[in-house]
Amino acid sequence: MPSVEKVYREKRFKASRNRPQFRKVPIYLQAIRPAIRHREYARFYGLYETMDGKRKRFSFGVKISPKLTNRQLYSLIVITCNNLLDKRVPEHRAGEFFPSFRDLFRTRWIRVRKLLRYQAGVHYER
Amino acid sequence: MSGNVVLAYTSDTLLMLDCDLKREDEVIEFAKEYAKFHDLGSVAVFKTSDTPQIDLFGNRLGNYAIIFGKPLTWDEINWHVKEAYRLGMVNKSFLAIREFGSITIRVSSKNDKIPPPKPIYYFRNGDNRGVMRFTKFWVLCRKLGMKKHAEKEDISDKRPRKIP
Repeated sequence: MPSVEKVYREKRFKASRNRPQFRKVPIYLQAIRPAIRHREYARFYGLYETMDGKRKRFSFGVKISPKLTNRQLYSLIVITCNNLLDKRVPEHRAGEFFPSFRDLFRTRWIRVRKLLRYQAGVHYER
Repeated sequence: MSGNVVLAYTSDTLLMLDCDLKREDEVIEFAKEYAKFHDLGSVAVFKTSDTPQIDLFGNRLGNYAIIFGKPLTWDEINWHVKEAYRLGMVNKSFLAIREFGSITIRVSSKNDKIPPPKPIYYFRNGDNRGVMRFTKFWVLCRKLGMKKHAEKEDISDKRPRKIP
C-alpha cells in the first residue's frame, strides 16, 4: 500500500500539471510602464457609535506627500489616530480621499459617543 | 473597553494581491514565479491573519498579501488582478476593488485577536520601490491604532505611592 506522503505528492504533481499557465501581458499595457508617478495614501477605518446610538463606519484616506520625512509622516498619523481615539471623526463621505493632511485637519471634526472594536463583515448603517 | 482604529496602505500604482485561504508554500511559489514571468521586480509576502481552516490534506490555510516592487498603471494592475483570479489565487470579492481604482492592504492590528501582518518571504528580483514603500509604512504604523499603551500609563500613574 503506498504511503500517505507518496499519494499526497502524486496528487500535488497532478494538480500542478492541471494548473492554468501564465499568459503574457498585452503589449499595449507594457508600453506605458516607464512613465509612472507613484501615488500612495494612508487609510484609516473603523466603527463608531453616534450620539444617536447608531452604529456607523468611518473610512477615509489621506494622500502621502513625497516631500514628507518619516518622522513628519509618523507624527501626522499619530495625531490623526489620537483624534479618532479621542472620539472625534472628520466629516467625510465613505471612502473619501483627502488631498493632504492639512485638508484633513481643516475639515470639521464631529464628536461621537464611542469608538468600537473593528469587526469585518459587520452590518452597519451609513 | 475602548475601540480601535485600523490603518492601511492604499496605492493605485502598486500591484498588491490579497490571497485568502491559501497554503503558505503555494502563495510563495506563485509570488516568485509570477514576478519572474512578468518582470514585476522584487516581491514580498506578508501573512495578514491565521485561520482555523485546513485543506483536504490537512494543511493549515492562512490569509496572505503579496506586494510587487514595480509601479504599474491602473489598467495593467486591473489585468493582473483578473489574471490572478483566473489562476485561482484571488477571491471573487477581491475583484471588486477594480471598481474603486486603488488597492488597500491593512498594516496595523484589526482588533485584539488579529495582529498586524508579518513578513514571511522576500524575493530579490530587481526593482524594489513598491516593496520598500509598503515596508516603510508598515514599520511606521504597525503598532498604532490601539489605546492600550495610553491606558497602561494611566493605570501606572494612579497607583498609590509608598510613603517613606
